[in-house]
Amino acid sequence: MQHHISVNDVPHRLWLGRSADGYVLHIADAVAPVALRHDSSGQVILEANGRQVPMVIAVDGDVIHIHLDGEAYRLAYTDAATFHAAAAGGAAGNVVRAPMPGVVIASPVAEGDVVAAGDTLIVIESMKLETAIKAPRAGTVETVSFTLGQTFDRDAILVKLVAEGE
Amino acid sequence: MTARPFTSVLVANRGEIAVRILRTVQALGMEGMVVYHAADAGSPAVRMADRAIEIEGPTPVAAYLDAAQIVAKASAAGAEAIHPGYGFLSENAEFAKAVAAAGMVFVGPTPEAIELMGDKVRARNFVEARGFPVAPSAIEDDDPASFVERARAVGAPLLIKPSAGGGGKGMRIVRDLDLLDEEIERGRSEGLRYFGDGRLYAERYVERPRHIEVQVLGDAHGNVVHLFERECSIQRRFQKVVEESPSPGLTPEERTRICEVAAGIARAANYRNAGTVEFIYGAGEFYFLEMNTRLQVEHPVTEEVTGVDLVAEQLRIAMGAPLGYAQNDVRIQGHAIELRLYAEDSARDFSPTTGPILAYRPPDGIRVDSGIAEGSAVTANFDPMLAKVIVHGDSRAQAIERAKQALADFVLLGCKTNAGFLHRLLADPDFAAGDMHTGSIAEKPWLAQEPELDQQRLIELLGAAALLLVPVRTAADAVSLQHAAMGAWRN
Repeated sequence: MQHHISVNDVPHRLWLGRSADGYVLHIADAVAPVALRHDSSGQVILEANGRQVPMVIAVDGDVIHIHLDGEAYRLAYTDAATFHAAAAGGAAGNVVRAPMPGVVIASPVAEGDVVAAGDTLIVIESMKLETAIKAPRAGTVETVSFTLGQTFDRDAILVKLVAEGE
Repeated sequence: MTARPFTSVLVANRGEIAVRILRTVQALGMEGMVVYHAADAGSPAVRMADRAIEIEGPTPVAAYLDAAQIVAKASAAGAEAIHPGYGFLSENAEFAKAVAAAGMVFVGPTPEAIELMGDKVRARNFVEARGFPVAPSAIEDDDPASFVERARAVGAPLLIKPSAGGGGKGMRIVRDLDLLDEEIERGRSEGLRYFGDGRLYAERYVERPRHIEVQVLGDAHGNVVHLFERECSIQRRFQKVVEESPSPGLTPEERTRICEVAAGIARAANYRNAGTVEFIYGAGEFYFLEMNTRLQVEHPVTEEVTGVDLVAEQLRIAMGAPLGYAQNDVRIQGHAIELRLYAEDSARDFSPTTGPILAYRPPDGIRVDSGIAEGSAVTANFDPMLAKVIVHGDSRAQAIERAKQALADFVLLGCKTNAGFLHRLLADPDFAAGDMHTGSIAEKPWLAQEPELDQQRLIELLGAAALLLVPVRTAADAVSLQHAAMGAWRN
């Protein structure tokens, strides 16, 4: 069974199998036996292809954060259904997401307003940068998720649109 | 305002600088207080303070900017002095006056000095009138008829700016004075278009400029010393990322000159407390930019090379004590570098990031000024600076090596930071050679990009994740061992 895991937002596919000796990772055209253990000092060690690699790992639900060789990596698991829905595009343009975390500084549209493509839906400020978020296409505003002064994270849904006739 | 002894200090700030100030306040045996908004409840500064006083506001930032509320609560709590840190109210003359009016000592310069240096045009005129170097310039308004000739006299390269301008709009660089008339006309029409105002201003343009600033200290008795310079040319989006002292770009003669000019400006302004005189430097010339009337973010590099605790000096000066040492007593030893760890994604144009701090382990034996802790979260409420890593070495090369090691040993998981960018910057040959200017980062876009991972690294990362993710592990365990043994050629 294939799994989708992104490394720093770059998607990868893999599956984990078993052998008589333990687990085996399959990615692209590579196959590698892998194992995780703690050494006597409590340090997490990943064994891969016979190499011993010390890591610091933090697990946050479906997101795994790894400090390895002085660098931090973010690995996020996507279940197959979500992955394929996103890949198919879904109702593209109906959902306007935050390009970066920030705070709402102007909210010119309200639920039920009819907007044209390019109209400003919401104005956000992120670390002294002001960004006007524009409508990707014409439609009617279904929801505005945040009010003036509220903060949000990257990828948060700011505004939802419904197209005419939907 | 009067300087006098005090035994308690309230820090009107948050984050790493509140922790930094409290550290010295408490080391000197004084009571350290801090104000905090609910968004910072449980932060390291709040836990460290002898007393923490909650402040309120429509947003967290608004609470820290609420001078009247802070003064009232500090006074009610019995604070005898207020240290403003940097940012927020630190360069607000009205706040400094209100603190004094409430019977407390403001740990900083006089309101007059804050006002003088806070007005960029007044500050420039003040500095120029006393014979210190400012960028040669010509202002059209002074005498419109002779503007072109006066601009020509400034000499190339020349920067033409709309008087009403800002944000780089309508600015033109003139390297060939034969094109001056033409460029002035274009600048005028752009100024009219953008600002409805065609008046212009011309000043000497510094190619590949370095940002060099000088730390000064002045006491209430008229004594002023400088504590040498800091090089702050590594910037992105006009914000500093890496600072060091001494600057690798100055000759000893230039160092003496620029530091003496800075001390001279502070003396002319009758400056009291810690301040920083900023210069633009290029091709052997330097010009006054502005003076910051507060403690700077990057003050630790000066502390590391001079051995002076700048916050302790600020407190002593605010109490009315004389400096007690002369310029010749201030020496620098070795080289110090500060790396600012920001919550940001360099590959997305350094845009800010947020997230929980799931793991936080600063490197052993290295000075890290930080206001975050494991279990806290980085939000969009405040500035994205998380921590400062400060290293010292006998030489610049040794300091760079220590910075690399400190960064590699620094575990911070949960929120994306600029650590990878800093690694690539420290490995850059031009940085190693000390060859940099304020446009260096923009000229090297590859430093902001994350390199592609090789296969072995991918196996290590994905292997660990696969073993830890429940659905992946469950799917693997669901396959009987007999099938699993065939797995390698089954798919």
